Amino acid sequence: MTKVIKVALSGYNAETDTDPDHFSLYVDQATDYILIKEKTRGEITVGATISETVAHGLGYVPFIMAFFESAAGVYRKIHGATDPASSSPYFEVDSTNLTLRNTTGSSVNFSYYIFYDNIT
Amino acid sequence: MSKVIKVAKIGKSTNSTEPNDFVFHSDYNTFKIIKEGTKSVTHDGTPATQTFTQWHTSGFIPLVSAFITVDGESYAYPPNGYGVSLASAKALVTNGVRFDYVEADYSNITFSITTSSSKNINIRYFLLEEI
Repeated sequence: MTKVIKVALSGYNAETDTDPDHFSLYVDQATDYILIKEKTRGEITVGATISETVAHGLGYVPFIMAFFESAAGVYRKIHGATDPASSSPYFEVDSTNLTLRNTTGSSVNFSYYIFYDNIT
Repeated sequence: MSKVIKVAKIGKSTNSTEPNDFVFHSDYNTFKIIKEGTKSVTHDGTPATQTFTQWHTSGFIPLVSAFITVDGESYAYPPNGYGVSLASAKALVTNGVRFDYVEADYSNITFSITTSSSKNINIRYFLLEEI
């Protein structure tokens, strides 16, 4: 028998409803909607035209979310190395490090989130 | 003694110490969608790059994910790219609408979109945690 933990939103029946959008928590071995698992998060300032690495210690390539401060108090999600905005910061991740690259001419603040979830 | 709720993947043990063996493990934070919404905008193509803002009431700078769908097209796509309307071994034709980026501050979410012709665009956004 598969193991289940479900908490339905108000107005929905957790025992009969199968739409995951109707649940605040939907954990079911059979449907396998895996919830991403945060390992760590941090902030780092990267100087002009250099990179900084963050060792994650996982031994595989993990799921990452990263943001940079595009203006004072404004954070933009980073979507990869080919950002259409020129000279835009980006990140790369391998089985050892998260690398945050600042291609601009002044220092940039990054926020990053590293998850246990293996993407390879 | 700390309390833990965990559900292993089928075929994996709940005694595993490998986080990837679990569908859910209460020791590990999972991101919650604290707010979601849609916004429909008309981009008139002049200037080609325009920004659209959406006020949010989070009271902090949220982590935002967003996707756009151009009217008449069935697919959605994230920032940093065009919609692809035709792709084959020899050709890749975009829809000409680039979703440049999404960013947020304490008050607003800003969407930057580039196109040279008038388009009706539907934006769907999700606010997760505080950055």
